[in-house]
Amino acid sequence: MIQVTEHAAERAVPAWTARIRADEKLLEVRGLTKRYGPGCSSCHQPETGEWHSSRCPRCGTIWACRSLDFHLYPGEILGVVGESGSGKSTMVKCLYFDEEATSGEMTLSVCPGDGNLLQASSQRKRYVRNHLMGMVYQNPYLGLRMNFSSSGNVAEKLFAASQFHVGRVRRRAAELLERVEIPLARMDEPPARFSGGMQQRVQISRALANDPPILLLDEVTTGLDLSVQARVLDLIRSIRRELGVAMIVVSHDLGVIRMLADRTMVMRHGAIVEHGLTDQILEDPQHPYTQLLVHSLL
Amino acid sequence: MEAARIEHPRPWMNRPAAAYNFAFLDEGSKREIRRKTLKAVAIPGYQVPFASRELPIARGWGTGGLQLTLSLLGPNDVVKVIDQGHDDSVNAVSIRRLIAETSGAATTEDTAKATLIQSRHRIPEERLRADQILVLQVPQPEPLRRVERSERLTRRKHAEMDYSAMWLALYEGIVRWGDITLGADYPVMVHGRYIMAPTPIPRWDNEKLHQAEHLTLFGAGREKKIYAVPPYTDVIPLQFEDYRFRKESFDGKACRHCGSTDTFLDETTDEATGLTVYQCSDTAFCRKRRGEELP
Repeated sequence: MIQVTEHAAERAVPAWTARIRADEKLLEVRGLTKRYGPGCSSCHQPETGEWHSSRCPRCGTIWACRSLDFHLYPGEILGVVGESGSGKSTMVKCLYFDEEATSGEMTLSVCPGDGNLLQASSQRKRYVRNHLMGMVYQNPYLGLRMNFSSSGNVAEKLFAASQFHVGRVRRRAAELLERVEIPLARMDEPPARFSGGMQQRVQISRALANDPPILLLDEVTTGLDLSVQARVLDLIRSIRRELGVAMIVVSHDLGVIRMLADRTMVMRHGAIVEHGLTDQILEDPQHPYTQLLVHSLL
Repeated sequence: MEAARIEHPRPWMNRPAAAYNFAFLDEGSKREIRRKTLKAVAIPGYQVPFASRELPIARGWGTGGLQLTLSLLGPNDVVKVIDQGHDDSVNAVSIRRLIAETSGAATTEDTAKATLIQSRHRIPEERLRADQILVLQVPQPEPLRRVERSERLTRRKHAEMDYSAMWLALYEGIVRWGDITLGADYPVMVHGRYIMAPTPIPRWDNEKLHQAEHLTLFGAGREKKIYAVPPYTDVIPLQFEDYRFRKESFDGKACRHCGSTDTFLDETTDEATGLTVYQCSDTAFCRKRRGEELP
């Protein structure tokens, strides 16, 4: 095994840090729409009116996201709540380019020259995925290579950012895994041998590998038991505090949203029905669906 | 188009060669293969799909290389065929005879005299010249196959230059075994763009592709791909800054026939004494060095 020596501050500060301004929107999304199916004349104005489901009764097209508008400031945590099938996961997958959005605009203040990133070339999208965003999936099998070493999982992101010095890559991987409380003695074990909570933490360290300004968390604590959930949530909070990373936290669990999010938006049938400060949403919900959601909280 | 007729030692083989087109393949097939070859030369390291033809040998036995050779062959060419360094293995002999009988082209074992060299898993020790073409047979043209099973996804990875999975495979070897563990078929970066499988040549031969004077063509008959390294192209093995690519070492060993210490050696057992001995893998080069006249 290769020895991991104490980490030295030899990493360069990413170029985009100079371009971040606290009072400027880091991420802005306008009219994000994702449609599965051809659509028809009766459902082609998706933003109008309340729907009873995201499926068009006439042509059967699923409108997973209907013209979503939102933004994210640096270091802010935006919560997204809603029931299963409300389009939350599709939304973050579109932001991470896992799914191709049907239409809409997405701009990042750290790469102003690119314009609408949803229309960018796949090379450019790859750059954004590898350098400017990190993603943590609900199912660790989507985000990790289960049979490769954990350090390798983190290292893969660093290779994508053209770092080809094994010693430095390992030091960085050790630093990140230590940050998420994976014992260094186990850094070369495959995540397949880890518990669910540990796998989620490996995913988080992989997502943080290139110091991205934005982290996308899709139902990270779903399926974990309560004490493990609490540790993962603590970790996310401390990452925000120490690294100042902005996050979009998707969850159907209002407890998670209450604990993490500064602002919250409520989604239903592919549209945003209400958004505002988290306290405001939870204490004084305006929309009938939000009221239902808050009142069904145990 | 011209018919070739040569005397074969086995009389039943002496049917009129005119039954075949020159160099076995029909002109349309040869033209298609040449066109794909030109495309491959224009995009170094890129795998060009082609319609692999049926041949009288089975797919996976050198049909890719053979189709390239047959499509390039002219009446004045001198052909050499090698199989892992040997001119006289069954496979090399069969392919050489097929080429000679269907085209009438001259054959040789002398690397320097050949204009067209078809090889399996070795590049000759003698440096090739600008007027020579090396054709390599390819079992698996896709270097990313060991990390990605889907052809669709490997193509996309090549298109986007997304090679982190390949680097991860190298890294895993270092984590597990302390060093890069890839042997033959060591992946190379061609002119800073495509990662390419150099075919299972030993790492010893990789440097012979880098900034070479000659053209190297790669044909995969079963996998239906052609790719190329044109002359004066950068061919750099993948390596980390602190774990470098290393070729095989034969320190303290020498060829038992010619005494060579600067060639790729095969390990074998001396039948009389039972001892491990070494000999040149490139038999033609070894014989030439000993002063033998090559046919």
